Amino acid sequence: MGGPADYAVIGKRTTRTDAVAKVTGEARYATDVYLPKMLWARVLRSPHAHARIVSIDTAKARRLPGVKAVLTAQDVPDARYGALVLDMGIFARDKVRYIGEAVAAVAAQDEETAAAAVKLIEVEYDPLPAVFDPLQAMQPGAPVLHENLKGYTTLFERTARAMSGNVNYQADIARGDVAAGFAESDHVFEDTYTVQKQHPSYMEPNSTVADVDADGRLVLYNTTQRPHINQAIVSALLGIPISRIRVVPCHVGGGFGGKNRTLTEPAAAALALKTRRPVRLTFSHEEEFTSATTRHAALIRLRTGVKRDGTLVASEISLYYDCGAYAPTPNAVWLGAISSTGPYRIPHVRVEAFSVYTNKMMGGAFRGYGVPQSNFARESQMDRIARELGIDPIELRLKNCIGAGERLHTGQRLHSARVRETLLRAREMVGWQGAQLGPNRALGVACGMFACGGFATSAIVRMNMDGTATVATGAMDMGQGLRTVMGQIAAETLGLEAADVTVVIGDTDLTPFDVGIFGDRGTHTAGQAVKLAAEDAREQLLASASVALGVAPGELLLGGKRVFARGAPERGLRYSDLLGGGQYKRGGPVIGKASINLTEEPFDPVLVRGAASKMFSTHTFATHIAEVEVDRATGAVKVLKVTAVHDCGTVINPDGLKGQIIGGLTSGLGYALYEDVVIESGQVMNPSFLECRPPAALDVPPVEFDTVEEFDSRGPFGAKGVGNVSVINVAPAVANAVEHAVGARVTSLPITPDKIVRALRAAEG
Amino acid sequence: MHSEPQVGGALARADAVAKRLVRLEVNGAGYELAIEPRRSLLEVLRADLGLTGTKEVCLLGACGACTVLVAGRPVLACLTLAVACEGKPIVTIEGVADGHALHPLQRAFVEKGAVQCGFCTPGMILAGKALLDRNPHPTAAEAAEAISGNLCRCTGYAQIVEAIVSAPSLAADTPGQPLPGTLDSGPYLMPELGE
Repeated sequence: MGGPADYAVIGKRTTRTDAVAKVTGEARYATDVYLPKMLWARVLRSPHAHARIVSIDTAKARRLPGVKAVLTAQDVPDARYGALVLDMGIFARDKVRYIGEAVAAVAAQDEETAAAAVKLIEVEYDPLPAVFDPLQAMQPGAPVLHENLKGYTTLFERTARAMSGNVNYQADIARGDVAAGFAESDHVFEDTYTVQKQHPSYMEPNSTVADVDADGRLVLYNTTQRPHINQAIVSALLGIPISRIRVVPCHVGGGFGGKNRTLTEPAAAALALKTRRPVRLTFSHEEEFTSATTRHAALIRLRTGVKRDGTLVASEISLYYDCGAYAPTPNAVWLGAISSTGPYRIPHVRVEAFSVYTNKMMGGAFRGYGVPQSNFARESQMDRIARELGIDPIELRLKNCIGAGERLHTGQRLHSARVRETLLRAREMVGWQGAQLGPNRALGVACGMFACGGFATSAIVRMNMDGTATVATGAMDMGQGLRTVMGQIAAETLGLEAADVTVVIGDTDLTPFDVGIFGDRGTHTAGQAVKLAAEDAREQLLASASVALGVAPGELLLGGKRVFARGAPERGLRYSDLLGGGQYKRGGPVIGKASINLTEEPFDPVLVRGAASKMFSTHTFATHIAEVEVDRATGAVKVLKVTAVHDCGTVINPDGLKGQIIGGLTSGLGYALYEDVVIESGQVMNPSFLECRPPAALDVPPVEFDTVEEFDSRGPFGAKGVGNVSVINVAPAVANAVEHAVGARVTSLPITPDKIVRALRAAEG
Repeated sequence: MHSEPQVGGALARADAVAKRLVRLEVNGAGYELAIEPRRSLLEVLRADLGLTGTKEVCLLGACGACTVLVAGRPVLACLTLAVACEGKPIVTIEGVADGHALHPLQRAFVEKGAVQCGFCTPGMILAGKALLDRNPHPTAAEAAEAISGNLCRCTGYAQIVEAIVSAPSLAADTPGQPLPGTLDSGPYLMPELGE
C-alpha cells in the first residue's frame, strides 16, 4: 500500500475549485438567485411557547394588494417529517409548541408587502402550560407537547421508556456489570455537568427559491447539506412524486450541521405551487436564532469507579438532551451516548440517553453532533479523578486510552485508533512538565473520539473525450472544500492532475444519491464512493487499451494521461485517443460508478437498545491542550494558545485540514467561553450576532497543530475526517486549565467570568 | 400624504415617500438611479445593480459581511444609506480585480487557503484591502485587527490573516499569471473570445 509520498495529488497543496469564484464575488448562493416575476415569502411565527390554535383568519392578509398567496396548515397535506420520529409539519396544526414556530406563510410581490401581510393574519390562541427543562418535562404530570407521540411514525427500535410523555428517543447501552464494577473500585466519582445551546452561526441564512419550470416540475434553488433528502422530504410533505422535484443546491455559505435540515424548502415549494411563480423564502437573522436549530443543551450525570492506580473500572452515564419542541435530529443523543465513555477502556458501562421535548426552539446538528456535550462531562471528570488520585492528567489518560482492535461499549471494534499517539505528541509539543505554569496560568488537556462515516452514498465518474474526467455525486460541499477533495481523489485514481477533474455536486437531476454530508462522512465515505467509481472507470479504460494495444490489462500502467505497456512506455495510447476515437471503435463511452453503504460490524444488539444507526464506519481521535490565564478578581479567562493533535487518517488536502482544525477549535472556544442562546420562558433573549457572537479574529489564540500518521482501511487512500473532532475537546481543555490555574472547577458551559468568581469564592469558603 | 395603518407595507410607503435621483459611482462605472432615500447601500447594490457579491447576513452591523469601500474607507453597506454615497467612489468585491488579473489580496486568499464557504470572503477582502491601501506591509496583529469586525465561522481566521500579510509579496508578481496550485478555474483563466 502506497504512502502519501507516493501520491501525485493526494496530500499535495491543491487550490480549491471554487476559490477564484469566491474571492471575486462570482460564486452564486441561494440568496443571490433572482428570477423573473419572483415573489417574496415571509412566515408568521408563534408568539406562544405552548398554545392551542383556536382559529386563523387570513382574509385581511389575502386582501392586501400585492399578496399572491397565504398558506396555513389547512392548505397543505397533513404530513410530518423528522429523522427518527416524524413529528413536524410545514405549519403548526392545532397547537404551537415553541415561540418562533411557523404558523402561516405569505407570498407577495415584494418583501415589505409580505411582511405587512403576515401582520394582518389573525390567530386566536388558547395558551397552555409550558415546560422548558428536560428533567421537569420527564416528570409525571408535566405538560405534554405531543399527545399523539405514540402514533407518530418512528425509524428506530423503541425501548420501554421511549415515546412516552415527552421522551421522543431513548438509547440504552449496557456492557458488563456496573454494580460489580463499582464494588471492585477503590473510588467512585459522581458529577453532574450542564451545557448550553450553541447556534451553528453559519454566515449565510437558510434560503430557498422555489420555481415551477416549463414542464411543471418543482425546482428548488437552496442552501443545503442534503439535497437528495430535501427532495424526498418535500415529496412526502406535499405529496408530489420525487421525479417531479429537482433540487439545485447553490454554493453553501456554511453549514456545520445546521444546513442538514429542511427549513425553508417545504413552505417555499408550497407557495410556488400555489402561485405558479418563483418564490423566495429567506430566514431573517432573527429567525435564524428563533426558528432554526442549535446544538442541544444537555444535562449529563457521570458516576465512575476507579482503581487506586487510576484504572477505570465502571461508569454509569445518564444523558438528558433538551431537544426543543420537535426532534429534527435526536440522533445527536445517540452520538453522545456512544462517545460518552470518552476514548477509554471501561469494562463495565451503563448508558441511558434521552431526547426530551421542551417548549423551546429545536435542538439539531452542529459540528461535533452530540459529542461536545458528553465529552465536556467525561473529560472534566477525568481531570477531577487525576487530581484526587494525584496522577498526572496525561498519564491517567494514557493509562486508560483505547486502541485499535479493542471494542467500545457498543460492541463495535475499533479498526483505526491512535488516540494514544495524539496524547504523546501533544505532550511533546507543549513540553508538558505538569499542568501548572505559574500564578493563575496553566495548561488543560482533553482528548476525544468521534464516531463517523458510513451511510448510503454513490458516485459516477465519466471520462471525457479529451481524457479529462467528470465526477458526479449527491454529496454536498457545505464550504469545507469537499468538491476539491473529491477531485483530488478521482485525479489520483485515474492518473490525472486535479485540474483535469470537474466535480458536479448536489443537483438531484445530475447526481446520484447521497444521504447528506454530516458526521465526517464527506471525505471518508462519499470520497470512497468517488474512488471506487474512478477505479471502475480506470478498469474500463485499461480494458479498452488492452484491446487496442494487444497487451493484457495487468501489464498496463497509467500516467501522464496515457495508458502504456509495463516496461515499454512508448507502446501506449493517450486517454484522448482511447476516449475520442476509441469509444466509437471499442465498446462505448467510459462511465465508472459506485454505490456503497457499509454494513459490516454493526453494534452488538445484546449491548445496545434503541440504536439510531447500525454502525459507524470509523472513528477519529484528537488531543487538545489549552493554555490559559485567569484573572482572579474578574474571572476573565484568556486562552493564550491551543495545541491540537489529530488522528484523521491520511491527509488529502493540507490547506483544508488546517482550516478544519483551526476553524473547528474556534467554534469550540466560543462554546467554552461565551456562546449561549439564552432562552427565558421559551423566548430567545439574544437572537443576533450582536448579542450572541461567534469568536472574532482577535478572540482566537495562536494554534499549533499536528497529525499522527494513520491509514484507515475503509477511507479513500486511508483518509478519515477532522471536521467534528476538532470541536469536541476545547471546552473541557479550557475548563481543566482554569482549574489548574486558579482552583475553580466550572461544571457548566459556558465558562463565564461570574461562574469562575463564584467557584473561587466557594473554594475560599 | 397620509398612510393607512391597516394597509401598510410597500404600496403605502411607495406612495408616501418620494424617490430621489441619485448618481452612484460603483467600481468605476456611473449609475443614475431613482431610489427611496431610506434604502440601504446594500439593498441597492444587490437588488438594483445586481452586484450580489456583497453579502447580506445580519443587517445590524454585527458581522461585516456587507463591507464595501466608500471613498476608500471600509463601511457596512447594511447601515449606510445609498443616497449618502453620492459623489463618493464605491468599490465592491466585483471591482477589486483588475480585469482578468486578480488583485494580489485575492490571489493571497486563494493561495493561503483563506476561503472556505466564502460567504464572509468579499467583506474580508475589502476590509483587508482598506488596510493594505493605507498600510502596505501590515503585521499579523494589524491584519487581525483590521478584520476584527468581520465574522467567519469556517476558518478560525488564521489563513485569512496569513493572506493579508502575504499579499504585498504577491503584488510584485506579474499580474494575470496562472495561479499556483492545480485546480485553478473560474472566469479569470478563461480566454476572451477572439484572443
